[in-house]
Amino acid sequence: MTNKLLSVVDVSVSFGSGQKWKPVTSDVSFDIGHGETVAIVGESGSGKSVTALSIMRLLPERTTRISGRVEFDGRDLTAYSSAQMRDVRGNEIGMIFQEPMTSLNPTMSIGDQIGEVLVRHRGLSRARARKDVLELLARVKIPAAERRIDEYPHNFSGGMRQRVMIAMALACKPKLLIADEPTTALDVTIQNQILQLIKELQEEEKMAVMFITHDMGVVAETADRTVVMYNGRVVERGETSRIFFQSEEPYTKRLLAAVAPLDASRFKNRPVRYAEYGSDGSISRLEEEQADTVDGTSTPALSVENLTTRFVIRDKLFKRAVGKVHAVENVTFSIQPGETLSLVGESGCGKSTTGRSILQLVKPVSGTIRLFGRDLSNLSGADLRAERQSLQMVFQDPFASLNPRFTIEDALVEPMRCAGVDTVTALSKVPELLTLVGLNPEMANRYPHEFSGGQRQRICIARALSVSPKVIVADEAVSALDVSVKAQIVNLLLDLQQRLGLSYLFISHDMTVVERVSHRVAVMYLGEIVEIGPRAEVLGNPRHPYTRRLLSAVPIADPSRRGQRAAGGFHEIKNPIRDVDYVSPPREYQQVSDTHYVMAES
Amino acid sequence: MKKPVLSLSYAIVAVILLMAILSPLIASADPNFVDPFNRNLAPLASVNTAFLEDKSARLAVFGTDGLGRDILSRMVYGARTSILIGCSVTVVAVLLGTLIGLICGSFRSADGVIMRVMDGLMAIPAILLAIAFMTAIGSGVWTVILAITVVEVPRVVRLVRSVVLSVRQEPYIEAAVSLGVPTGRLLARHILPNAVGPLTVLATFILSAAILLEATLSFLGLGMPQDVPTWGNTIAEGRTLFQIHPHNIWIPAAFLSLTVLSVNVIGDGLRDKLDPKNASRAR
Amino acid sequence: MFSYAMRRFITTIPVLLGISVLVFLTLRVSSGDPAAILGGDAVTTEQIEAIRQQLGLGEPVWKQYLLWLSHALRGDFGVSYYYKMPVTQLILSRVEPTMVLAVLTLAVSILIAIPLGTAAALRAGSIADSLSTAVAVVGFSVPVFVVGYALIGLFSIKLGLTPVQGYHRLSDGALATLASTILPSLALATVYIGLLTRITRASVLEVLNADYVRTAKAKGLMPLPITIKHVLRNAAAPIVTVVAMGFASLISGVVVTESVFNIPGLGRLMVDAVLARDYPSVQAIILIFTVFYVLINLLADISYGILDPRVAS
Repeated sequence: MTNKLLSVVDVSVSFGSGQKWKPVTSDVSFDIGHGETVAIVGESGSGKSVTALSIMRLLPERTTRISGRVEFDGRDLTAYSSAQMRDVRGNEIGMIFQEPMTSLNPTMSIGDQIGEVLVRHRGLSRARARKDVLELLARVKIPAAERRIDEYPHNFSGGMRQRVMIAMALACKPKLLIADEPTTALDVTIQNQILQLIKELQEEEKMAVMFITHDMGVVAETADRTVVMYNGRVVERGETSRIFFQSEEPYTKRLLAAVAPLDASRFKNRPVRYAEYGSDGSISRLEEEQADTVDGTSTPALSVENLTTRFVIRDKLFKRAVGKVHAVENVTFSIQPGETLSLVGESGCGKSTTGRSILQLVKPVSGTIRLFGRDLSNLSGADLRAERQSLQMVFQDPFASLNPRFTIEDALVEPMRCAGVDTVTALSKVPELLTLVGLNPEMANRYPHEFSGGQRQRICIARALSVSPKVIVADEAVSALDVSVKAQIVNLLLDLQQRLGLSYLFISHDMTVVERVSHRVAVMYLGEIVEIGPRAEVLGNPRHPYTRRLLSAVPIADPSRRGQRAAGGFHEIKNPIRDVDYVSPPREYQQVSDTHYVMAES
Repeated sequence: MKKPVLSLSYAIVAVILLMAILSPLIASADPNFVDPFNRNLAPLASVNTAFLEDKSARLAVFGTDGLGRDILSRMVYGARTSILIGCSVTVVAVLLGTLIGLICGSFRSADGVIMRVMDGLMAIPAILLAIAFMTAIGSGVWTVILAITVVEVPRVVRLVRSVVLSVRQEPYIEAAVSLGVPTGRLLARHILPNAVGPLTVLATFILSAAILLEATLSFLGLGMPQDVPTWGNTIAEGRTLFQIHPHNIWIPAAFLSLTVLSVNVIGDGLRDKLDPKNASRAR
Repeated sequence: MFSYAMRRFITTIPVLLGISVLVFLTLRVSSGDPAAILGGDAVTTEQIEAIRQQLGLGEPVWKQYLLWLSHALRGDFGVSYYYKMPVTQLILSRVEPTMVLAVLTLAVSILIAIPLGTAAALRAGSIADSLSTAVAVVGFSVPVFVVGYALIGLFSIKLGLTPVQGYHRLSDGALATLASTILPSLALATVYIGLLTRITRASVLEVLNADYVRTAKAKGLMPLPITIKHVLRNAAAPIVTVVAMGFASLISGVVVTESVFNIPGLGRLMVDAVLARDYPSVQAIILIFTVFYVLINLLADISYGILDPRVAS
């Protein structure tokens, strides 16, 4: 084929030094044609980023060994000297990274950082470069470019910084753009905008894009062809639609099952388990709707009324209050025993603060929280600790939420001891708890660092269950996990609900998971619930403009539905900081159906 | 730090500790015995025993000073003073500083006031603060210990406080709170263990700083009383004869430098061991 | 930026006041009756009483403090017990050597430490790296006075290159001044170089791993601009902080070095004053050194704001 822009042939990378070298990727091969979009998809540790960095030769030279061949535009890059490689980077191949917050130099204005590329590769004067930078800023749709060109990265939001990164990568009109998880750190509506922007610019420039991602939804939306990587190897490559619909690879099938959009016509009201796969890739258990666990008649397991939490922002010098973050405003909902309510929204919308306020980890300003009718809000000290046992939390980061100095047994025993259970009884419950969450009881004496992310999250769940709670607040409990692990943990949570009749407040930004686990969904925006109701109604018939915007931004893991989404309009998520004397406007909710409410627009 | 250097440092510190503990057994003579017939003997010179009770032939291993006092003995007793002061300061500063640091990290109301005082103490260069105290109270072992402790406590407070504040942000602390772990147990079992490593490292640096500061004060004539045989005093007394009999300075200087160096190397080694990622961090 | 500088300045005022209280209390309250000391042996009780009145010693301590502070703010630190002259005048006559010493030390240290630390970080495991580690450990561990005597022993006595001790004023010719201060500056610089090399290496190393340095490489920039514009610029803030904090060890070094090299500067004056129980002089010198130290740190904080645009906003 003469149309090849990039071909990667048998590239293997190992890290190490001296005699010890550890292979990270082996024999990775794929091609990218001119103007084509190729997605490299895989979970953490699959070697997809390392592959990108090895093409760019950005890995630390002394601790890296690369073998194989990288041909770019007919030239062998692996034979290039460091100096020749510098002329390629930023000029013929542009690259953007995952973390827009840390990928820009905080001490240089964004104009200088973009201009630097032009000065380096095009030999422009600084004044001339500045003119071009203004044009570039306009092309990546940064408003008021004239004014913002001299500002520093910290003045920009995450989405805006990623636009700056794109302007920087595209400054020299490269033939290939390598985008390494460019939207992973961004909120879904912003992600949508950035994906659109890359697509538009790609069409204008006739440039090829190598898109590295873990998100099958993003793959389905963008890629012409897809390369699936696992454990440092290419598992499969081909046309994106073939990968999605005709793959015979067990790993690809597992990956896809974990992101497959829910068939809304088949599953209406109750949570739906993910399908389970055997090691050979055959389905061992189909996706299925859970049996009904909701007890709709008794007292709510958890009821929250007019919960409001604000944080005072103080002047650094005189400690005077200068503003308030209205993190949670007048939030009201209830959860029946055995029910799952999902709280969804983008970062900063107050969903996590709601969860933490319910557990009294932050003190709310006002509002009542009732657990089976008993008011938690005015308790403190030992009384609070006693009541709070029936309300437990599972946190986002399974690495940080276990004390690294405690063995698993210590971690499980401690809460029971604090609840007054004697050591012998507490110890005897450990194997039972571990079995309950699908872990081998013999692992009890190990330390957290010996476990994988998914196993740790199981430990965290076991720890929460040790004090026999009735309600669990799961704060982004599966967000940090790889997709296939995510599906297993969701299934575990659903099974536990079946067996123990638990109620969940499932806090998440991940709509594909929310679709599976919830009975009901509440959408939060700027600290307020804008819409709440049964899952099928809120997701299938969204009424509030924000809910619509949120849902239309979610990439769908189905290449046949590509382009059906509305193009995301330009907007930034507002921040909920208000003046000290700000009074929240009164809100009214309209009833859409029996249990579906939407905030009336003011 | 390379392995042999570290092992050598441990060996040196062990020798100095032995000297401090067993001073009367190791010292060959009374460190304050003035011998006008054996003044300024060079190291390894024979002692003139004509006017001494003990006539056995012997060498002055490290020589004698301007008053004929045996330098080896002065070094051995000097080690005792250095170690006594260094260890006392370290123990008191670490205990007191940890207590205050815990209070600061746990109670916001106390934090403001205490940290202002600590900032104030840290704003005064250590030697000036120590000199101010020495001038105010007068010289003596306990004054020196007090003065150096006052200088070192704020460093411990800062460290413990920052550990408490940063560990409190960890999700596992929030998890423990929501699981019903009471505050006291939280501090003791979850938070304080995180401070042990950094505290051990800081303690070694406090030990070396205290030994150095005591020697400096004594050298300036502002530390231990002049009749006490310390390394700093010996150096100070050797100054007048430096050009003719430099061993009066080199020997105590070597003891002092090697001890401080070894303790610092051990501190660096501990830090590297506790957190290989922070191996290169500055103190 | 200006408001940030003002804000920082205002926050140092309580610290300065606190220090003045501390210095005043420790030295005034404990130092016996200044009137009797100032009067000496040959005066009558009436005369001592007159001096007491004049110094305001009959007043409560807080009034004495305010009186002392208001005089100190106007540059009047009273009369030296020992030298029997105004402390301010005494201090002014001793400032020059100390200033020369400090400036020279600072220059030597920065010129050696920052390139050494940067080289050590850029090439971990290289000779520069081992050298920087060694310099840092030795700088921390070998007392300034030991380094001082070693330098005298080598350069003055063995080689006869420099005067053994003493100081030549700038009015005697800058070269003579340089000759008399080069050894003391080198002695002083050891601690400082140790401190600075270490922090430079550490902060450059940290910045080298930052995502934005990878971005700069991905842009195809040349190594030197990356080191200067992206690495050093970002590593500068902690280095500046340490340069300022290092003034503490510089001050303590000055006190010692001036004694070793017999230089009639402020540090030497302080030691002499302490030994002579000349409290007004001790008070004044400690206060001046400390205020200087606090102001240097304030300056560092403000330059932090210039170096890192995030801080000032």
